[in-house]
Amino acid sequence: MAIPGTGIVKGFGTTLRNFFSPKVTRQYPETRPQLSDRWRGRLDLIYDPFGDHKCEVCFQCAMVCPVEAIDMSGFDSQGNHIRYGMPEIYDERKDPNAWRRSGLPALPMRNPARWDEAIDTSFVNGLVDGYAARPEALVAIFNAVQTRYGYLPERALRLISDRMTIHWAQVFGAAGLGGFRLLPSEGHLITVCDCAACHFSGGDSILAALREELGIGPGESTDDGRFTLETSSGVGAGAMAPAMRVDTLVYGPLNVEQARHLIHERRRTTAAEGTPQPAGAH
Amino acid sequence: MDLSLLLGVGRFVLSTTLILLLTVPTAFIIIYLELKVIALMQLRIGPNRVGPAGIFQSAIHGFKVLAKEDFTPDQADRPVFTMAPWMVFMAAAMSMLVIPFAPGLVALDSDISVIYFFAIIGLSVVGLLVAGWASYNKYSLLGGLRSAAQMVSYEIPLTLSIVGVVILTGTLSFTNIIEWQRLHGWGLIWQLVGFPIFFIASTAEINRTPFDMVEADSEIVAGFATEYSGMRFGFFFFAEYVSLFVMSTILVTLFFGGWLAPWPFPAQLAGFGGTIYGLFWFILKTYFFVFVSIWARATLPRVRVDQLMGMAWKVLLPLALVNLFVTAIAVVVFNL
Amino acid sequence: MTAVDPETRIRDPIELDRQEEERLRAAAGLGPPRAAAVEYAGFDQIGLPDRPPQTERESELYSVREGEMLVNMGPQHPSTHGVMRLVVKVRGEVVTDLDVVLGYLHRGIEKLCENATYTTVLTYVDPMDYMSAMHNEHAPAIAFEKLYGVEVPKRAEYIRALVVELNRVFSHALMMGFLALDMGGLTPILYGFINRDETVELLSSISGQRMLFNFFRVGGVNWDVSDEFISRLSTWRSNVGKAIGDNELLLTQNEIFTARTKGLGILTAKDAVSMGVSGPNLRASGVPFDVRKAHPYSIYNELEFDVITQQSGDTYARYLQRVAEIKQSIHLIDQIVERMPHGPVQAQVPGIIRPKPGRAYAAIESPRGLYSVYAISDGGPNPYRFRMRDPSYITLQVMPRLMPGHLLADTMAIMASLDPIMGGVDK
Repeated sequence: MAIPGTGIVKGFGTTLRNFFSPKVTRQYPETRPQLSDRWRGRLDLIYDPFGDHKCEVCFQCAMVCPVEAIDMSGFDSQGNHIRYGMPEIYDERKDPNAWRRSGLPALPMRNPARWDEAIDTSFVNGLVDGYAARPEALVAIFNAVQTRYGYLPERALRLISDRMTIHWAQVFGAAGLGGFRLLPSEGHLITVCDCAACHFSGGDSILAALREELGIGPGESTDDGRFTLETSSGVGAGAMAPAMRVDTLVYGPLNVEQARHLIHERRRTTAAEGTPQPAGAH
Repeated sequence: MDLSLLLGVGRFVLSTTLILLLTVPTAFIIIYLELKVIALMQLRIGPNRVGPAGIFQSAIHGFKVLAKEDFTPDQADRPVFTMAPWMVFMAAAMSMLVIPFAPGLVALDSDISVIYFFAIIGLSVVGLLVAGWASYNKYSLLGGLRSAAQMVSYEIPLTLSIVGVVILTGTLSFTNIIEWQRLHGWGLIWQLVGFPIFFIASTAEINRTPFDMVEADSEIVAGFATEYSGMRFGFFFFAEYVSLFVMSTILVTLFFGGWLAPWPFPAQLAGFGGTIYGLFWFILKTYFFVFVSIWARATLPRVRVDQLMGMAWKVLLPLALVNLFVTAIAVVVFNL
Repeated sequence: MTAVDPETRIRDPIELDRQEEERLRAAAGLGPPRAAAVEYAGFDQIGLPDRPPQTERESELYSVREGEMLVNMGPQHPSTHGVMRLVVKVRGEVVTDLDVVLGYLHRGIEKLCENATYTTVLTYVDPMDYMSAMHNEHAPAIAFEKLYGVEVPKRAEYIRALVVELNRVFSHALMMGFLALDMGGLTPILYGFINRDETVELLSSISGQRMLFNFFRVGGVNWDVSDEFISRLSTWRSNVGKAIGDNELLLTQNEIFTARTKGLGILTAKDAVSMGVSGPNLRASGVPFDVRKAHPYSIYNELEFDVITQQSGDTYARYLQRVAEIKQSIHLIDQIVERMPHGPVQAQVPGIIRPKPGRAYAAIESPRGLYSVYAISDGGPNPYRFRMRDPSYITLQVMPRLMPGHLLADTMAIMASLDPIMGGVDK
């Protein structure tokens, strides 16, 4: 029979010894764990020694993936665009055709005819090549496309996605950032910024003045089709608050009179106004 | 009005305010120590992001509970539910009044401070019991009943274990007990049995591991505190750590010579210097026992409730009685 | 610190309570106590919408006598090992009846597997019993190899045995921690996780993942192990030995721990066998049944080891059984590494296999007991039927037999000693 309490004393000794021992915690952002070469935490396409994708778009990986996580598209040997993926995954739910297929009433789109209008593929291809398909140039390419078409057509986005080998969802998500339109607008597009900075420095009074001036509310177009008014928190000109964007030009800081003046100015000019410069605020 | 009465009232108000203010940094320091020491013993690093070495972690915790929603269950007994944390916290805070921190540094230097202390610290059981009752929750009820049973049982060996010291020193004032220890050596030497009884019983009295079945999280979620949130929970939390501090100070006062250094007090250090010197030793010893309590929490599993009761009544109480009789006989025979 | 004598534990508190009441009543000159009123309390006692009892057992459980109370523990409770729910009937602190409510983590893995091809089934079974993912893959792999009739290369069998034994080590080490955690000991679980991290680092270096390894393939394993991996095993062994040793110092002889585990939740050998308990819980009751020995699979008939048993069948014996099995597993790993042959690790198996119509059964010894898979093929690429026997699920049915008569505090200790993993129970 051991002396009562020896077990407890041993326990105390153990904790005291470990009190002075080196600690095992890894401070995560400072010290990263050494991942093994076989680590499979992230899906990635492998490159060959010449810098090209080794993927041949055979879809075998997408077919055997147990949780159907892989959605892929590419070009086959004839140059046809091919893709594999569940029809109901993220992007296509927004597609009116997918809505129709699913049996749900398709939402009427404001300008359905032009969302997938034919585009000048050589223009987009030239842009992508001009930026050497670098992913960081995505926003610049978007800017150029929007400058030309006034919005980002879906076909252009699809082409950018395929040419730059960026997932469609990522391209679509990036296009949803401030400053890009996914739908064509009628006439001049007036965007009043409603971000917090603009709102508190008088953006709401500007919006009220424009409502009065144009006779329409946000999201509406004038009857003559010359102006479309909208609000967005993505004008992206916080330093110029309160800011407003006319087509692609960002103005600010504005007061009510200046805002009215901008509208009057556009009214005076004819519809043949030249293409404005890309806004510098992006 | 009498000037001395005015002075006395002023001194009382000042000292109680200071004591009340002292509870907050005390709780913060001990919470931080607990986080850090347990972490180091578990081979972790512990808090290290908020301030240097994470020293503001417990302050952040304090502000966090302040910011949380103060929630009262639908069928709770509202006034009692609201009062309970306050009672527990005040019991802990008021017991700090009689702690002699250093020569001349005591809020309430009473002749019966020992009795006052045990009367006040026993009040917290009422708070815990009504907290468990008023929450309208079965876990809270079980926790409240456990706390009542445990604390009432352990009051007895706790109180009996210090009667030995009181007989030995012949005084009920903490200050005088320390003075006696200056002349005769630390109480530990005279009360070799009394000290472990007091240590175990006080650990149980303040619901610390291994006697924390009042809030045994693996069994009854959080016991009496299950339904509490926000600052009401914060009061329970603070009270727990303030009680830990208070019990350590009393342990030091009774058995380890209070503010006395392990060697004779230097005579030239009178007045302010002596106070600082005494405070240093007092805090050092107190935090040593706080450390021991945290160390135990990192080491020991929890005792079961019936084992706990059995130990109080079958082991600690007889031992405390024997200790009391032996001390009394020794005092008479050797005329100490 | 004075030791808490296990003898101070009240043997049968309910009976003692009644006797005491009768004695007091007789002393006070009162008659026998009036018959305890039994009434059906209903589901609203535990916060559920009331409905009439559907079964006899239900009406029995939800009928409370005077002084009894129904307590609902879980599925959100700090120590129910995931999402188990216990409906406990207590008399004061004493448990008088108990029911286990399951199904909160049901993910339909069997059905998922029936809709997956044979090769992809092995990815689905990982998250079942998440403490022993390697074992989960082992049984289906063996079953499908039987169905398809493919011979596994010798080196692959050795690698399989190596990884499942590594997995067993950290599973048992974590059980030590969870048992202590449910008794209020905060530290052993951390040491257990240090141990797990060491092991998981090793396993991720060969399988690429830390928790859901997906290492087994039909006809072999995914990757070979390198010599560098084998050399890392010796440092691993010393680190694990230290962590296990620390836990043992904290628990095995600790008086509080022994007082709370010895003589508690005794599962007799007869009960254990009749209720289908297997694995360490069964061996702790003194029944020397180990699938590795009784029905050798893989390479276990080539290794030298004995079936470890304990005698008493209580919580402490189940704890000791785990500790002993950790040491046994480390010993087995040494043998496997010593004898590992060279050669291929994967037989030639196509990506989508279509076995001939037939049935196959494969049982292995998982850290929780006999884990087995029964698969039926109809000649197609998916299993026609895929059924798993998870040992935790079977083990849980002894709880209503073990708990009554113990205190509420002991239910958690006994449950932790049975080491159920809810991911496996609910599948």
